[in-house]
Amino acid sequence: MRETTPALRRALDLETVYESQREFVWLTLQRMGVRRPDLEDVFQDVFMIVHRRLHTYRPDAKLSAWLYGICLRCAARHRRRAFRRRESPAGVELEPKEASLWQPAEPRPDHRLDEKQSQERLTQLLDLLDPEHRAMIAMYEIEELGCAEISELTGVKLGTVHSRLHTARRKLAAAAQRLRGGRT
Amino acid sequence: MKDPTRIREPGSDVPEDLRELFRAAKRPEPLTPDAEVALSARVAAIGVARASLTAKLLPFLLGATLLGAGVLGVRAFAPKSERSTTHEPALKAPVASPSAAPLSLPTPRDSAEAPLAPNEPSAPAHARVRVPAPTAAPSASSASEDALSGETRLLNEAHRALASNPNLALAIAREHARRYPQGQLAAERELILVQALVKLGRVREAEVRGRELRKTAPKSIYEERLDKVLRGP
Repeated sequence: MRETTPALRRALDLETVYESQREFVWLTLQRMGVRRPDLEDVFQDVFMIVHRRLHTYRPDAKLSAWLYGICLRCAARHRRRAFRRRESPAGVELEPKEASLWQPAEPRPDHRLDEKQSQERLTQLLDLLDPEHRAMIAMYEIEELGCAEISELTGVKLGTVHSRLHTARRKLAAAAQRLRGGRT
Repeated sequence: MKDPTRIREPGSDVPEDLRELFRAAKRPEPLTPDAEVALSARVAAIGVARASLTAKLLPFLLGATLLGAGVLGVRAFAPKSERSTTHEPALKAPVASPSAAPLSLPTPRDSAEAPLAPNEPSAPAHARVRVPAPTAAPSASSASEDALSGETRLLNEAHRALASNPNLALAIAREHARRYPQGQLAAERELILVQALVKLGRVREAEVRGRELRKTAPKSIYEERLDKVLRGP
């Protein structure tokens, strides 16, 4: 990887990156499935790497795209750790409590509770995706960003955004089908 | 290349129950002022941890060696997987002050939250520094004096850093908040936090903290100082 010029390195210090990109990193990690209480820890991990690797940043690359790659690595590492702690249902058989989320819901007079349950189910489904596909779904389907906008933000080529979205939706539908099949 | 039909829109090829879930989907939460305060202190701690902050706090740690016995094991700030390629602060020094709670520079917490308990599981392992408990328990009065002395030294250091390095001042004040959540100088610390935030241009966050300080120390000398800080030069 080509190194930056000394002048750019001086201009682009940790504080500058934090100032301009903190919101992007904060949102991106959530899109990749990192939630509180771990969000602040993983956010800090991202900036630890930024601090150490800033000298490798290429000035012709978009800063958010460079950070997106770092976020992906940190989110994937966090996911592996969570998997080991069995705190996430991703890739493992659902615990009884988790599976119960997919039982047909009783009709509720309180619409807000129903909405909460839907949100829990969706989170559970999205957690089955890897961080890259999860982020694509979050940006396109939930935040309703356009594919071109996603490509611009993440540095992922437009065609690749489309194909990742397609794959993510296919995986999502399959997971939903599997979970739906588990209903009693 | 045309964007595909979104799942929640009519005409998408997904089952209705999946579409329903997306209609209830929540967007990612934006940064709140409180989260920004916590994150900025964490990032400031990264930037200064290996150099100036470690150097500045070293005298406090070494100073405590005069008081008793114990072993301070400083774990690396870097994630485990990357430690082998980084220079780690690997301090070892005897410590005995009862006020010397485990030092966790990269993970300062918002003082509005519950104080961080020693070895709290939610703190990342790579960011913790453990200080074993002293072997002999000192009297309550000497413990209180030691705590006040520790508080004073930390806040003096934070105060000195304010002019030249507000990020460092913020990180030290955060460390004070973590070590002494109910400290005798908590109001002074909060004022330093507000000053550091103003200097960093985080006026909104400074105002939030200032309001909290006004609530906890109404009609105190801090009111006038706060007004000056928040009003600006």
